[in-house]
Amino acid sequence: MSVNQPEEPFTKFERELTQALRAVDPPDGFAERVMARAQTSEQPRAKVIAMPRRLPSWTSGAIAAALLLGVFFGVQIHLRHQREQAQIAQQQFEDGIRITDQALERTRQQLQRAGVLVGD
Amino acid sequence: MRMTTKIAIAMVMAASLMANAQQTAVRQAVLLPGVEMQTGASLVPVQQVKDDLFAGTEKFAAGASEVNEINLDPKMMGMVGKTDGKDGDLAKKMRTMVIRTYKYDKPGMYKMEDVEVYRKKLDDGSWSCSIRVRDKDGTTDICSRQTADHKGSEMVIIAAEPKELTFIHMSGNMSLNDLQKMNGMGRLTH
Repeated sequence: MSVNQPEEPFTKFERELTQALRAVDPPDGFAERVMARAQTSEQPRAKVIAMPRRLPSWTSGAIAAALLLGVFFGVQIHLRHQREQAQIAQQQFEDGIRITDQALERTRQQLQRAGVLVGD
Repeated sequence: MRMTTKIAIAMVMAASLMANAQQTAVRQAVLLPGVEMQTGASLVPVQQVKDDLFAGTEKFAAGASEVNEINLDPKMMGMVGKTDGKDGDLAKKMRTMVIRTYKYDKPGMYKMEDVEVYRKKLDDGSWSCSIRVRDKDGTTDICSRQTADHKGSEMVIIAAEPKELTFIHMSGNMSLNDLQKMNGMGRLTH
């Protein structure tokens, strides 16, 4: 319910506010000075802040894949080296047994020539 | 070129360098400067087994037409028989195998006195020489003893012929009969 109140006089604050916000005419030549300064001053440079460029989402996957590839190749090289070593060892062993057999066979022949009975 | 592409290429290069480094490191663990093994006509870099008994036999290579050096340490011996398994039984009994053979085109290419130096090493009292043969075709000494840790035995064969020298030194838990059984030979000792 609205009550019709008689118009109250402006308070002191309202009077001061009105006074402060009143329109004031610029001094003489103000417009000319502003225009002159606007034409002579340089354009202000805007400071550009470059945001860090985000890497694509697949970059981490590519890095992981490259590392895994390196590990895989390293393991394969190691396994191949082990196989080579095993083949070398096998060959050496076979040659060694062959040489030993030959030496023992010659010894057997020597003993037989000497009249020593050997063998089954 | 985009930064992501550069990063990917750098990672691949790093991975390949890592693989090469592993390969190089593995090779360097095997190769020893000046050490080579010859079996027949092949040259293969191998790890030298330290054998004090035959130290200095390299001098017999002078004038030799064929040189065979076999060096199998316990690690290499453990790899024998894993490929096809036929030698695995004997290899499991053996610990080391060091063999030196020198073949010459004609007699008189080495001095018997130099061979005697190694035979004398077998006369220190620790070796039991079951076979010693001397005839016109050469000399053969087969000796054995227990290893220092008494867990196995060592066997030495020194065979000197006019055109061939053979030094064999094996250690492990094998016997002479085990060696002869490999090729179906009859027993040399009872």
